[in-house]
Amino acid sequence: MSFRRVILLALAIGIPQVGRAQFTTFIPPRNKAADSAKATTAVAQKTKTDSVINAQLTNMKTWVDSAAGVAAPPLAATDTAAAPSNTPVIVADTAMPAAGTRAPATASNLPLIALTGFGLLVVGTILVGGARPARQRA
Amino acid sequence: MRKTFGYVFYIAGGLLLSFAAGQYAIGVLRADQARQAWDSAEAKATVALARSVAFHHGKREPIVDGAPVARLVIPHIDLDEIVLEGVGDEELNAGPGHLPGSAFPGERGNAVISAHRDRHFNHLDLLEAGDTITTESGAIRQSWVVVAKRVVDKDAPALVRSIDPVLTLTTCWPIRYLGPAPERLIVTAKPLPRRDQRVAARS
Repeated sequence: MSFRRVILLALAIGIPQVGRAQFTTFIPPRNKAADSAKATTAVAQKTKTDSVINAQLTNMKTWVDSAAGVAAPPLAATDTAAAPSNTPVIVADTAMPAAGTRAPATASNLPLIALTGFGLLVVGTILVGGARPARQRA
Repeated sequence: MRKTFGYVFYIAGGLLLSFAAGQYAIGVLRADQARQAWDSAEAKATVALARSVAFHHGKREPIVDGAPVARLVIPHIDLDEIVLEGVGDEELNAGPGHLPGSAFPGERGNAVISAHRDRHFNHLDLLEAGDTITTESGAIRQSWVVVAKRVVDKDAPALVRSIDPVLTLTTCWPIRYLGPAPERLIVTAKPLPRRDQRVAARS
């Protein structure tokens, strides 16, 4: 076997090995601690997101109920995410009908009563006073 | 006979006048009591508590009718009165009344205050756009500016909800008129910006 054939044989054996080494994916063993931390973070993030969405939906429901004249259920005191300190926009006149209401009647009867009383006094005075000359004539 | 009728009229007129005078006197007495209660700060605390409960739970604690809930000052018509909760005869006889269910002055929403045309709001028609109003409710002092004045039919749904703070003053119209009023005078005011201040901090 010539030296040239030996080299070709070596290349024929070695090149696939090199090629396989280049295309072989290295899969490291799982770091269980890191995965656990990531999962915890993801769960916490999802919980927070869901809670915020729930809070937004709760506030929206409150607003819709407010607009519709329906008393909204009170927010749970323990759900801190649902009651952020800077967002409660509570309209205080929800007891008023949505379609509007009439202005209350503020017409007092006292002036009319007083005027009637004054009129009766005047008439009574005239009648009593008018009767006096007749009595004097008698 | 004529003399008898005269005495009957005389007595009836005296009774009616006495009744009207007595009602006015009771109104003045109750207004004075309301002012004393307001000045004692107990009423302010009650309103502040109701406002706080409404803020955190979306539902207001009911305030009994006749309780002082605010102070209303309108310099242009020389008015300085304590507002009572309720718009019944007894409340309106003593002072302007806060329409139950409406917001307190300074809160988000429409705060409605009504009064008799022949008593506390007898000069409400003199208000014009641009006049200022001051209210104190709970611990909040708020200045307002009149933005609209209109006359509506007595059955018109003129009082509507609002997301923003609004102050609405109402009385019967025409003001100088005897008997049931066919219309209502509605004065609307908006809050003046940057004028909110804590009464407690001021005093």
